[in-house]
Amino acid sequence: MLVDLKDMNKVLGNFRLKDISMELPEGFILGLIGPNGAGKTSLIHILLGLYEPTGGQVLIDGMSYEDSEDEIKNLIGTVLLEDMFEPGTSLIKNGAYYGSYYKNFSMEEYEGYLERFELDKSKKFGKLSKGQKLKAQFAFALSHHAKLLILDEPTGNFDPKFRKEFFKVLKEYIADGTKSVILSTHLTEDLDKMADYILYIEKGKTIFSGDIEKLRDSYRLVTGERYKINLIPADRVIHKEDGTYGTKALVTHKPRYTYDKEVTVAVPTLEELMYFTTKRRDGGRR
Amino acid sequence: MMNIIVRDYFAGFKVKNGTDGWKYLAWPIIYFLFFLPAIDGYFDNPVYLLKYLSFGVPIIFILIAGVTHPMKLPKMMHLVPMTTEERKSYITKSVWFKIIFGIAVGAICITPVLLVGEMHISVWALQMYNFMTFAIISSRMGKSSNGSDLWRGVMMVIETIWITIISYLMLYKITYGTKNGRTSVEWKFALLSVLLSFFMTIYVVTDWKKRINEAIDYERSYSK
Repeated sequence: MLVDLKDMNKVLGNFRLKDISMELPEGFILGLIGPNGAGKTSLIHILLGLYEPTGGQVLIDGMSYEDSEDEIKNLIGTVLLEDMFEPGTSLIKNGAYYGSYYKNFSMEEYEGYLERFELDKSKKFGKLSKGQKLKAQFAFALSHHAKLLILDEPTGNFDPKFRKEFFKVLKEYIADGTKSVILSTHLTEDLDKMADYILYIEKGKTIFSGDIEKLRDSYRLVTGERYKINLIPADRVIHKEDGTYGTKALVTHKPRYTYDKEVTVAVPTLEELMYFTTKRRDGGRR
Repeated sequence: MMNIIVRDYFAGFKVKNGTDGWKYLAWPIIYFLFFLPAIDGYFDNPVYLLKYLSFGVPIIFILIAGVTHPMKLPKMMHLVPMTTEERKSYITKSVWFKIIFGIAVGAICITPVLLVGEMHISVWALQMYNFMTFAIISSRMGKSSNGSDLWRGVMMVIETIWITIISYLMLYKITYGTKNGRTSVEWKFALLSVLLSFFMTIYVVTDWKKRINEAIDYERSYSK
């Protein structure tokens, strides 16, 4: 496993990440999802070795931060929402400066990505827009041949044209089967298309961790007349909502379950899954 | 590693790396470079002004270096492949380089005044001592991991009062000749300044280990 978390706990003031477990093999994309304040960024900081977990296990490529911090950090490329480069220094100098710490950094590749992402390498980092800064950090992360890319919500700041390019680059990146990506994003429609694994957390706890197909197989979105929806056993209903044209309910699912012919059954998108799950936890009606 | 430390030191004057202490520098820059020379009449005599600046400019430089080079690693330095020990070594050497460079700037500025006979050796020694202690004390001037501004504020007040008195008394002897003996008042002030800066230096030095350990820990360094 490239990333192996077991019962990881972290206390951060009044907030707690509790018993987070996940596995990510090489060659796959994991989508990290959850509402605002779920703990996604804190989890990312733990994966990056910036925070020390209070308990549990965190292994990156079989190594722990306690024993192999510099080796692990050489394997990881990251894009965070915070500005990581020096604002008064050009992109090319930032790349040269920080790239010198990485064993496999390639200035040629870095400049290639900057050009591909339509960034002026002589421009100072501080003069870029938010989206451009993230592109520059993405270019840097790709340029030192990291085995694991950890990306914290970059896509919300990209224009639609670059978002397509971004996902194209990610596909190219994992194509050889030796590298993996952890992508935290609120734009779950992208993960619906691309992710292989999902870690869904809320208020510091795991709601789901595993194969996205397994997640999809575990739930159904059922739409129909209210009285038909009410026939579904209550213990299977995550949350239901009355709409203008009927009632919609997110329910747990197993292959043996059958549904009334007069209701519409669909596989929920990640967005629908998150929406209904959050509603249930906010005390919505079941 | 030393070449990286030297590179980072000079780059630190140009970039904003989490420092927000420029507001603390406006007062000493205005006070030491304009207000104090004006009320002492140094602007009327270029020689006196140069002698005063030989002392004042290093102080301003050390202050600026203290503010622009906090005992705190840029965020990216927590992500690049470095062990904790390497990070600690980097920060420790960076602090020492900052101190030694500040003292060197001071020596370069005031030694010529001594060599041309316009400064007594005891004054030179006292000023070098001041530069050394001030450089050490101001190593804590940058935005600290706990975000406390109290230290900087207190230091500004103490330094302003202390340096005003000492520079006036010492430079009084510089500007009006180097042959006269010291008065007892001047020696008492000199002793007071030596003791004050000595104890402040000891306080800062004994706190270094804690500050360095905070600086190498991202969570403590950047916690809100």
